[in-house]
Amino acid sequence: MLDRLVRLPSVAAQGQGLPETAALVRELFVDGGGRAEIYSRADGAPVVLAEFAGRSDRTLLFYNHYDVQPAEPLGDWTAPPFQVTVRNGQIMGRGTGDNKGDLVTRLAAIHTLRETAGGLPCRVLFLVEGEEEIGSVNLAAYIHALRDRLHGDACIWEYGDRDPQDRLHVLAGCKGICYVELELEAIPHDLHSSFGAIVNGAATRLAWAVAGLRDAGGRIRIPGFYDAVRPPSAAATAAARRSSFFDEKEFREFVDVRRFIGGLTGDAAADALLFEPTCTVCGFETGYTGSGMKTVLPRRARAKIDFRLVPDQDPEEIVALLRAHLDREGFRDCTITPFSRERAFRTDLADPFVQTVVDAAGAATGRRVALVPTSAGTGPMHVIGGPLRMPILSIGTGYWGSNIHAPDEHIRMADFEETIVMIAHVLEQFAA
Amino acid sequence: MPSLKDLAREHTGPALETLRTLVGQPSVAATGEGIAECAALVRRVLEGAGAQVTVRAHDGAAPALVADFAGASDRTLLYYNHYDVQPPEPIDEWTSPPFEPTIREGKMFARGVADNKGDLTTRLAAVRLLQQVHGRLPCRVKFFVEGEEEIGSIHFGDYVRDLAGPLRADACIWEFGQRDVKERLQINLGIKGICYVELEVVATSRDLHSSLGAIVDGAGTQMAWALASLKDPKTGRVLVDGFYDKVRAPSPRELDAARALPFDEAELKHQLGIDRFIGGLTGFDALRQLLFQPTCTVCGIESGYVGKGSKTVLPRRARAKVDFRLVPDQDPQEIAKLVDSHFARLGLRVTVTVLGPERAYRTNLDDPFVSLVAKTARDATSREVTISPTSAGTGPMYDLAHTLGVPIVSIGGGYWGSRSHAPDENIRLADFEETIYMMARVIERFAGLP
Repeated sequence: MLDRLVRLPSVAAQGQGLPETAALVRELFVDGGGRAEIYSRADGAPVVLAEFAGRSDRTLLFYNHYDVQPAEPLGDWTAPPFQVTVRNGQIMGRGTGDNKGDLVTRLAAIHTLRETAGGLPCRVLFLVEGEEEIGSVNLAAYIHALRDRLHGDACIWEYGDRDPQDRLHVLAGCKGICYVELELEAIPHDLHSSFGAIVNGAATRLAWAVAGLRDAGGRIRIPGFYDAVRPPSAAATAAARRSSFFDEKEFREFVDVRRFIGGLTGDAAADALLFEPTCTVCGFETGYTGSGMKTVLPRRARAKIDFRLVPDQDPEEIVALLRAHLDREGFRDCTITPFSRERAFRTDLADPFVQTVVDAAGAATGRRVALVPTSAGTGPMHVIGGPLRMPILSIGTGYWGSNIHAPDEHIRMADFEETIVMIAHVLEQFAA
Repeated sequence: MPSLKDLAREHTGPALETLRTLVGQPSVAATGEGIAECAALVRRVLEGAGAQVTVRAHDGAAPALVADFAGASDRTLLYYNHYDVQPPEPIDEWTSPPFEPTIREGKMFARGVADNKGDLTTRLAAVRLLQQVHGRLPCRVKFFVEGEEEIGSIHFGDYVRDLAGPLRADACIWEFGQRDVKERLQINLGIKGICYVELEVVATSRDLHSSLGAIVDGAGTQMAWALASLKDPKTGRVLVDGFYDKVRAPSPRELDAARALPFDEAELKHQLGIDRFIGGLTGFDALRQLLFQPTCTVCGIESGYVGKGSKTVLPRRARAKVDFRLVPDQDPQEIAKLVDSHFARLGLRVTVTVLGPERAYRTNLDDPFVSLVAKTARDATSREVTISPTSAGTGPMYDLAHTLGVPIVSIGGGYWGSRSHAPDENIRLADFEETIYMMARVIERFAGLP
């Protein structure tokens, strides 16, 4: 089943093989005894919505995606990217780790339960999209259109890792994002830089604008930026502590950074990583950047800024606050072009679903479980968890070395089998 | 007997032919195209006019030439010129090919025709004219011609020290000069210095996912802080400690000279495309800032992802280029050290590499050579003459003035529409002829003739 999926190169970035893969996903659901339908929009990849009836009406929704990252650089693969190769206990191929492997373990768990005497203990829904790797651009619209069919009690998110200490991670949230491009056109044409005595060029002015967004202590200087920030619950902070997801020493060595922002260390650094919004310069370009010297006063400068958001910050409001801030600071002529905008999401750790999954996953795998209250990264959890009002947890079949998005993507055979059992156990406990 | 002016007209045709040959030979310092060939061509032209020519070619440097024309006295006038040119790109914006000199509407178009082969040619034509008129030059005349002016005269100081003997002179005429929009002839007595640095921040050992921006300052952010810390947004004042310590204030004579300069604030703003100068300066305050204050200008920044759309990266490295224009007596190497200490004090780990160091220089306004050139130029051209104590731009004047101890005055054959460094670079043929005559008169007057 996994090999059939991997053989379809469903690369969202290149618009390759998406309807074909959606058709195969639907076929796999139907073959597994479910009802499945494909929904399409004019300008997006189709989604597959599947339903498996169960003994009870309690409903668990699985979110997965059938699209994958491009396979390039092809020369760095030691096995063909678009077929499954089993080698040294590893299942290799593009999409095995992200996210076709997880889809298959979930289907296999349902298949296993259906073959038992009692059958599937609860109702199960699948929402499988084809644009996750390009920012889930149509997911919100699909959810809105299909909301009446997506009623459920809880959601299992797409993936999950085992860490180097062999612990199983259960992830309960993710940050939001507001990614913008700033562009400043200071003068109509490049000038000789000797005019710098009386004219401020775009490079200098945008450096001022960008430098003014955040102070060296890490505090973002946009008035109102923190107003909507919901502090983490005591349970979330405690979970972060218990999970000890953050190995400070290893991380420092990995990135060769001597000092974290604001001089944070230990738990304070770990908390900042999970619970603080950010402001990061991802790119800056202006004027002459070749070798040697060119004495130019550049007319235009551009910068890309990434704000990671926490609940309940609204990316649209952040854009408006940024606009007001730049205007006040004398940068009215600096334009803002927003790109990715997503809200953060955090499942309430007091929700009984959390303990159910943590216990079931631990019991089924015999592993220690690290409950991580939120990722430092971003995902479209809010798109589902917001309107559908469900607790969401992410568990899956990956491990720390799965090379997702990279050459030689793979999962471990033993994890694959373990995950099938784990998902089956979660379904049983969820229904109980 | 024909007047000197009439003879100058007769010399104009042959001089234009010489100029055609010179600009027909590409000599792009930035790429090295045709540099050696052009140096050889200049040597032949100078020797053809009767000069003793010394050529030096330092390792990895474009050749430099000193031409020595004997005269009736040992009083020596030195001309500084350069045979290299700017790249011709963008080629498709030229009306006629950049290295095929074309005459239309009383102008000659070609790369280098204004900057600076035209000036070299008018000066050489003046020498030939006086040789014809007097049998021999009334004083000794030398030319110093380099081939790296357009890339910052990077070996100029070495050449000047190496050639200090052959270059010995009593006064120097610098490479160029313009007629302004009101057709006044501009004389310039100085230039600013420069300390052009490349800054580099390496924040982490690799690019990181930008979600880690919660605890790690990326190179892009640190570079923005570093650059923003250099200059006050309100006043434009450079905030590097000690930056202004060595600044020599303009003398009352220099301020008077600057005040006498035509300064059309509205026209300059229009030309620059701005509605406000740094710090809200207006009138003479703006001109004083332009001529006598040092600057800090970011010329380029590069960090992280700059393509289309979004990439969530925390960049490991950022680079920037910053141009400090200096005034007397700032020392570019010392400025670089101050900038380095400035970043260290702020706790920013920024590597500072000096790319183009040059000192500023201003010739003394009271030097008799200044009034000699100004008066001669006025009489020869019947133009109003403006004397600027300094240009806002940069050049290697300090090396020459300091090593040789000579006053330096810049005057030449260009005009406001010469489009130096740009497509359709050109000179007006009438200016070319006028400049030959003017230069001949300057040599005569310098030699003590009436």
